[in-house]
Amino acid sequence: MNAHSEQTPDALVSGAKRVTMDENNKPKRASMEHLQPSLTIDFAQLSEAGRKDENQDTVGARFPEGPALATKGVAIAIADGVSSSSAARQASQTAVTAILTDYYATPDTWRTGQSASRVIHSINRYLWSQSQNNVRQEGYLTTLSLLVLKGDKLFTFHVGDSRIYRLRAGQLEQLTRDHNQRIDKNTTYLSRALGADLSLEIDMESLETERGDIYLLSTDGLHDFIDHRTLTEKLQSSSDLEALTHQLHQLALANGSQDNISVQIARVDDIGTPSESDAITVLSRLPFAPLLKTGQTLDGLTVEKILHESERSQVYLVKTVDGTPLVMKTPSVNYEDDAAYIERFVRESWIGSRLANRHVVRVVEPPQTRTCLYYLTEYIAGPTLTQVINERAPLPVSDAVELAEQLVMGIRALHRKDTLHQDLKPDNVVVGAQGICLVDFGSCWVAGIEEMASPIAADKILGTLNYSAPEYRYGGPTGQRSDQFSLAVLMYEMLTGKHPFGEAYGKAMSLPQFQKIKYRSALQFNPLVPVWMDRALEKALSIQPGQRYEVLSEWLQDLKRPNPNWLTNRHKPIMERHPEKVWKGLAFAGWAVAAGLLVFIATR
Amino acid sequence: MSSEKLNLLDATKANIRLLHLTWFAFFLTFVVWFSHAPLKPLIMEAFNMSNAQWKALLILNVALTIPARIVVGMLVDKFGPRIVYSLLLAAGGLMCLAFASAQSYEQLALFRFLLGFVGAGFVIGIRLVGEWFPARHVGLAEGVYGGWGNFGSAAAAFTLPTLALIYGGDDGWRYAIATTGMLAIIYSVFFYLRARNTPQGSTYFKPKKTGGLEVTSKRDFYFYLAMNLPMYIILAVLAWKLSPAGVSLLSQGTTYVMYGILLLLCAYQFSQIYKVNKDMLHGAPVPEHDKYKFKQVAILDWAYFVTFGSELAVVSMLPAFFLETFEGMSLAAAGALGAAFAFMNLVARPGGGYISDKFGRRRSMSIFIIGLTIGYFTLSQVSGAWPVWMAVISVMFCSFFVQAGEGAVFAMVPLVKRRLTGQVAGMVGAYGNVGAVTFLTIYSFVDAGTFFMVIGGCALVLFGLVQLIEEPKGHMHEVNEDGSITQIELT
Repeated sequence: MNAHSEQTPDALVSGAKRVTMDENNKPKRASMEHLQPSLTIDFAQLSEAGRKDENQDTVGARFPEGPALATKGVAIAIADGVSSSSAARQASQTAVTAILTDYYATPDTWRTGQSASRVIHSINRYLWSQSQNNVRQEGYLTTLSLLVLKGDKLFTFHVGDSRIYRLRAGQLEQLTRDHNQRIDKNTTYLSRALGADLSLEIDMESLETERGDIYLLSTDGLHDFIDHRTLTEKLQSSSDLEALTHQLHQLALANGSQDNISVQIARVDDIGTPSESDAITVLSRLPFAPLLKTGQTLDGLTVEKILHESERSQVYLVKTVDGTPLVMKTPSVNYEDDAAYIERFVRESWIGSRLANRHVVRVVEPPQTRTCLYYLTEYIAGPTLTQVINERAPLPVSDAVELAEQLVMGIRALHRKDTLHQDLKPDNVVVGAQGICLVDFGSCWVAGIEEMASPIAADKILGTLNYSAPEYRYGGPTGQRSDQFSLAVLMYEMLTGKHPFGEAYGKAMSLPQFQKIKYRSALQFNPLVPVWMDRALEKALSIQPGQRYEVLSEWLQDLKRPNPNWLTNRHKPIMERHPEKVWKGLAFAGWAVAAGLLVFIATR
Repeated sequence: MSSEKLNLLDATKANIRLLHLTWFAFFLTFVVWFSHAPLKPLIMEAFNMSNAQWKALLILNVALTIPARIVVGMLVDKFGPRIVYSLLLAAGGLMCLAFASAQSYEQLALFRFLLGFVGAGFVIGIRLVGEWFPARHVGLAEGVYGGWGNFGSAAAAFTLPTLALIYGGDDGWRYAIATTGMLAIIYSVFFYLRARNTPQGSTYFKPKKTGGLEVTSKRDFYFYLAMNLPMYIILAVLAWKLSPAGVSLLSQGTTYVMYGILLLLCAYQFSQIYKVNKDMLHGAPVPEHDKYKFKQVAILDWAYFVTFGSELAVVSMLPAFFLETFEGMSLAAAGALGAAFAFMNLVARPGGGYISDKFGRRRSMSIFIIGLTIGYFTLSQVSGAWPVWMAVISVMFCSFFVQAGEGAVFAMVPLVKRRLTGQVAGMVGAYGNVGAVTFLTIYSFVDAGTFFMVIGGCALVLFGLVQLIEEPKGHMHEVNEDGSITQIELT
């Protein structure tokens, strides 16, 4: 298993090994607590290497409980890694584990189609970049078929040549179309796969489910070796799905399958009453929470204290029934009908829930179904970095470095998910007992989401004036190095209690204005800062993103031990230190020569 | 950290400090804007003015404010409230100095006209206060800002006549007015140094463009267009008033140029409105939850027309009214009594908003309007035979309802359509100024008694209109005894 194997208890993922399902999990009876009575599904899956050395297929399914079953449904995914390298196995595993975790982390307000396709697009990007960066030139390619059962609806998402079938009333129907291109009689090529290209077209379909439907997902090692009629008969022959998977496996082997063999079967035993059409309509109608006073209770959460209020949102400290303190963030009524704001607010909670890092605050599922729009995070007791700076700055150098290191860890967790924080400031950092924790994702930028056309025009975030990198305001391209800039401002403040550029920085709006302001050496305010550390700060604080560090780890390294290049005094060429003086000097010299020549000619 | 109650005296909080800073800026704009009103006899004497000329001056004072609001709104979008407010104060101060040193009626008229720009200060502060206060406090904070700021006209009426007397001599009034100008200039610097556009460390969003108002049905589109016409009509009437047909400040040719400019402006605005609503007009469906009735905006427009419009008109003429009605009253006393009208601003305006929040929008608005109707009809009966204290009480009674009505209007503005609050507030505010120009134009034709009567009549019509307003719907939350919150959906 690779790094993606952190599984949630209700996810069943199986790769190289034969499926062994926990008895408790099978068959899974998933019931919705609130709006709808139970959606009951019987399920079995199997994935075998077959005659190959290694199993490059991955199968998995997730049966959530509680509100997530109503809003997200049951997800069943199958993937077949392409090519003969070990990358193929990793690709299929990545695809299945990621879809089963990230899909459930998408905001409740998103439609199923929107959620799944955004997640698939981001997986595609990830796999593609893995292939690009792979030293052994291995391609991370995989097929992916995803079936989502939600209330009385089903959704299919499909790329490649794995298949989804439906058996209804004795008729077996293939719901997906193989993405194959026939070259000649004997050779067909996969024409579409995850990780093949940056742009990806996903086949999506939405259908009604009925009681008694049987769904079958398979890879080509199975369905290429069992014909349609046999498959139909087999599926009708028994109601023991577990046994069926084994029979199909044996049959494919007997028919000469040389490939990995994977199959998943799901039978809908009960769909309950029809579900609400889609989460978007449900959640967008969720009213904004009223302004809460201490002592009031909303959805079983009692308000203990108002932590912070601004023009855009309220943040409360709340307590659950069993006494766990949590932080509740509610949108401000000022934006009640502002679609862009609501979208951003909902996305905030999504971004938090797809990260698992000690230095990034955890988003918590509400204990009861939401009746209002809000989200919950764990409560980190402790002062914000603002308070720490106000009370203790300048911090001892070693403390500041330690805090910076933790900040870098938190930020890198975001960057690994292709997310930029965009609004790093001391107010958004809590110094808790377990170290530093980032607490606000209100301004985050997520690759893959922003590229998709959205009917809602997004607000343009410019960050917080004193902390956001200059490129936000002068309109240059932003990236991971923009977060690096903000981090360096925080570090500088911890060391000195001052801003590296002084007051002028908050006022500058255009590139020429930014180029005029000067970095103030940290030594000016705190003589204990080593010269080499100051250089590292200055580099990370370059106005031009290109002049900052390539990656955060380099910066961190330069903070922790002297960069040998910087031990001696500055040896910058005059051209870099005073470019304008050089040019002025040159121009002056030119004029002097010209004048000299004139005089020379005139006096002759 | 935040608390549930807003403590206006807690100067350790940055947003309270900003609120005080801002309302005082607004206060000064009002002092400067109405510095001429209590000094009427002195100014008229110095320039040998006719009554008609004086009344024209009063109209000129409020005319430029109507277009200025739009310009100031755009400037705030572009440069932020802090610098714009500072510049407005400084510019107002300079024009005030120019007014104080005017040597002819033409100069006087020109500078009064330009001073109308200062009246647009309201817009800036509302934006600034909105940035600094969370939803829980913003209503009260804006009430304090608006109410205490409007009190500036009372302060001017109260102090300037006395100040003029202290300076003494024929030019005493000039020094008094110049003092307010200097004050504004000095404060503009102070404001710039101390105020900030957003709270420290708050995330900065690129401000949204405020163009035409979006409407959600074709009928509303034409309704909206029609509702814009009164602004141009009243400015055209003003141009006519200044033409040779009126006080002859403008030549016939210039008057035609004015008409032309107004026509162009109107065409431009209509094209902007069309641009914003193009999709809707071409049949793009408007989502059900996004629909709203323009009728609501129109009624609020007219409500503000009568309330704020009459307030501006009355504070312009009241000191002189007292002086002329009651024989033997001193200038200082007349000024002080004239201030009685704006005095109620301190409590009535925030109070009106509060009552509207608590007791239902339509009902409270109806009551305020009945009150102010009675008030204006009473004022129309005031004569020299009345004891002065009775007159003062009538004025205060009337002004209480006028200002409570203003508060109630602005409490309802954000509820029409949250997303469009800025534009709705802009239009309602502009109608306040249209009201002022209209009432002062009427005043230029009639005596004070009839003038009050006309306002009372308008208020009666408004009473009928307000009955058509719909209570904003939405989710209501109820707090149970144990503190838990249940939500009741209103349909």
